[in-house]
Order: sequence, then structure tokens, then C-alpha cells
Amino acid sequence: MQTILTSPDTKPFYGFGLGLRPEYYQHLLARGLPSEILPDKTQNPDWLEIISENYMVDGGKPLYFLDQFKERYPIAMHGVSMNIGSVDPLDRDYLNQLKNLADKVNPIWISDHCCWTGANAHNAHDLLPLPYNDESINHIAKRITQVQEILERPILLENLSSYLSFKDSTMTEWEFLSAICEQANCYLLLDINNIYVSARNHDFDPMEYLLGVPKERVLQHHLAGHEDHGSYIIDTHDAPIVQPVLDLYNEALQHFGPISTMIERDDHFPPLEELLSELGQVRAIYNDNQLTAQQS
Amino acid sequence: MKLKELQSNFMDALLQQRVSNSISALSETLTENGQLSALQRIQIYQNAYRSRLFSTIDSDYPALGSLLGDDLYNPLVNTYIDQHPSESPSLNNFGAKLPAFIRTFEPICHQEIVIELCDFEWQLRETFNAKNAKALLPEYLQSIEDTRWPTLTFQLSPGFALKYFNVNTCDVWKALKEGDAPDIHATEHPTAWIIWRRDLITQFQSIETDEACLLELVAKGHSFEQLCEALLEWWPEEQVPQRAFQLLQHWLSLGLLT
Repeated sequence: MQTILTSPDTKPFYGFGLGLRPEYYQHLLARGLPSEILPDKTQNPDWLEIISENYMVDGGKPLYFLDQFKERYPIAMHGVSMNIGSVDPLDRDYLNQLKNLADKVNPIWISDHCCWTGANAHNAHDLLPLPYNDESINHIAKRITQVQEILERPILLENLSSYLSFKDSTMTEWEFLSAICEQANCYLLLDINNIYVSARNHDFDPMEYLLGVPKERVLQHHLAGHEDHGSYIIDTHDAPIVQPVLDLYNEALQHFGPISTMIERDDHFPPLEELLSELGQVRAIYNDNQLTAQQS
Repeated sequence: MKLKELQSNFMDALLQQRVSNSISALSETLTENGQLSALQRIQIYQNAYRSRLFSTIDSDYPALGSLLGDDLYNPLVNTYIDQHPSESPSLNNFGAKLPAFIRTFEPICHQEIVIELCDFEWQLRETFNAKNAKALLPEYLQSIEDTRWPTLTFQLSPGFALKYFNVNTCDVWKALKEGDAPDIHATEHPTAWIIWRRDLITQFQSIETDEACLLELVAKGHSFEQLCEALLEWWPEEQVPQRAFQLLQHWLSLGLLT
């Protein structure tokens, strides 16, 4: 099995990326090869993240474009259907397809969500929360270990945006994630927007969350926009990142140091330049942070 | 409560949104905090579930909704979602059973254009996602030795489909896609249409009856000699080899053979 890191000092840092979506295929390719476009780094993504399931097809456009992008950018594979927390048996066909795709793409890493997406042989196609207790930890950690054996590499688990919580929970979400990472020896994709969304929906302190997860396990951050309904927030990925999330990202940088970060945009797609300018804003927060760290 | 029971309750609340027992079973497992009730929190997931599946059908069948209008389309899709919950981790095939389902859905099941358009849109999707394969070039025919011709067989490109329509379905589809009001009418005879993908572009066109018959035989693995025999139904014997060769050249120029 591949190992990704041994200590926080050796954490790979790929810079600032974007979610690869069909809406941006042509625009990204038109920007040329990274070697030609990289002199002005602020105008380009450093890496791309794909939704794995969109490329688990026999052929056609998705695979044609993926072939081109994997020659140009480091690619992370991010899934939404592993159903790792479900009581249903692991879907071996799905995992084999995921492994085949990984063999083709050679990704920097593979991630999915700390959730379940279906049970009783039916699929909700949504990221559903688990009760945070020992039963869930043991169940999910065992399955992650099996998945990591099939994929022959450790995986990253992402924290959810959630809208309800269970009476059966006996610990916080960050304690839950920490215990899973420890038991399954996996890593974390910490979505800063999801922390903010869940903090508002469940009334907890997002800083306590950031400080509560194992620093050495965090390999990637997601940033995204959401829909604020006042009494609750929905994670929609269809709007620019709001300032409080960028502020929380700034706090995350101070705590975790450089972590590969990308923006997820899944609807109301702006022109690529607009998204890259938002990525530039994120990069600027990182640069300011680095400067402050050097000065102190 | 055990995880298994909790997940069953949750799935029931998503799949049987109009059954209050399943919602109250889930509701009892939830904490009450913040400004939302347990029911409102469940509804966020119920709305997301339905909306995700609904948009999958919208994107798989982009013209069907315009043809039917909201009053027919919305109940169709909502009933389909209720009766055909997804059983796959991928949404790629969620809409696969709609062409069969629509044939049973009153009152639209009696409208030929609805059934044909639904079939056609799903086929476009299937062809779009078909396996990649290298098409044979027109020069291929020159490379075949004379002795091989009688037993020669051909392979159609993955995603190739032959459909017979009784209505001007493809014209209706084009009009709907362009936002125009379609002129729907039955064709004099069933018309054969081929749908295939050339490189990355999905294409379709109508073809003659003899060509359709031959393509059916090609799909079944019949030899060139058998194709020629079939052509005798339409062509005098002396013209058969020329017609067969012409069709082969045409198929190669379209990228139909691999």
C-alpha cells in the first residue's frame, strides 16, 4: 500500500486547484499546457479534482477529456458513492471500477465522504450523516480498511455538511473523525465550508472543530459557496465563497500550515476567469499567511 | 438504536415521502436543537433526494418535458421516482427504465410521439456514453482479398442503434431542443433511423429500408454473401454487388464500422 506521508513536515502540498467540470473543459484546455501558462500562477489552477463517478463510464467525452487533463495537471479523485458508512455490504463492483480508474489516472489521492449514501439496496444519492458513536466508528473503520486494501492506498475522508443530528451520538463530529482516522489509518479532506455550514446548523464553534481534528491527518481542504436561509444553511456549491468561510480558512492555514486547497463549484457556473480570480483570492490569503509566519 | 435500523428508517423516510410512519420513526431518533424542527430537518433531505433524481431525468430527457408540459411531465417523473428508486451508486442509469415506464403511464401511454421521443432520448444518452472504438477507414475495403469477401463479417461501432419511428420523432426532438413548437405528424411508413457516435459526436439520420435490413443482418453477424442475398428482395441480381459495396463505403464514411 502506498503511504502518503509520515509526518506533518512531509505533507505533499499541491497548491490551489479547481473541481474539473465539463463546463470548463474547453476553457481550461484553451489555456495551453501548464508549462506554457504557469509563469503567471495566479491565473491558473495548480491541480484539478475530478468527481470519480463521472469518469467511471465505458467511453465518450468524459474519458477523452480526462486523458488530456491528466497529462497537464496533478489530479485528485473525489467520489460521492462509496457508501462507506452504510450497513449494506461494500459494493465490490464500484470499488473495482474505482480502482481501474485510479490505475488509469494515477491520482495524487482518492477521497470520499464520511457518510452513507444508501441502504437496503437503495441509493439516496446524497451524503447522509451517521450517529457519532462507537458502533459507527467500528463499522466505518473496518470498511475503510477493506477499501484501502482494494485500492492499494490510503484514502481521504471528507467531513459533511449536515442538517440533522442523532440522539444516539455520544461525541462531537471532530472526535468521531479523529477516532476513525486513528482506527482505520486514513486521512482527512477537511471541507472548511462544510464545517461552517454544520456549525451554523448545529450551533457549535467551528474553531473547536478545526482544533479538534488530528493535524497530521489533514491533506486537503475544500472551499465552496452555500445558500443561507437564516435559520439554517444548505451546502450548494453554487455561489462564491462567503467571507466568514474565508476567515475560517485563514484560521485553518494558521493551524494546519500549507494544505492543498481547491474550490468546488457545481452549479451557476461563472466564467472560468471569475472562478480563477476567486482562487487567486484564496491564494492571496495563503501568501499573506506565509508572510506573517515568516515575519514572526 | 442500532445503525441498521436507523439507516432503514432514514431510507424509508426518503423513499416513502408520503408515508407518515416512516417519517415519525426517523424523527424520534433526532435531537431537537436550533431553530428547525426534526420534521423540517428531514424535509431538507427529502427535498434534496427528489430534486437530485428529478434533475437527472431532466438532463437525460431534455426534450420530453417540453413536449409534455409541466402538468404531465411532473407527475410522470414524480411517480417514476416513487416506483423506481435508484439501486445503483451511479445516476448514469437511473433514467433507463423510463421508456418502459412511460408505456404504462396514463394518459400519455397512448401517445406514440411521447413513447418514441422517450426511446430516442435514452438512446442518444446510451450512444453518448458507449465504449470508445476506432472506426475503420474507407480504405479498408481495398485491403480485403477477393477470396475473403463471401465470408466477410462486420462489426458495428459500440453505441450504434437502429430505430423505427412511426412519427416524425427526430424532427420533433430537434424543434423542441431549439425551443420551437413542433409540427407532429405520423409518417406514411415506419421510418428507419440510425444513431451512432463518431469520435465524440452523437449523430443520427434516416436511412432506406434495404439499408436498415442490411444493418440488422450486420448486427447479427451475417456475412457479405448473406447481405447480398438479402438485397435481392429490393434490387435486380446484377445491381446487388454494386449496392452492397456502395452501402459498405457509405457506412465506412460515417464511421459505423469498427
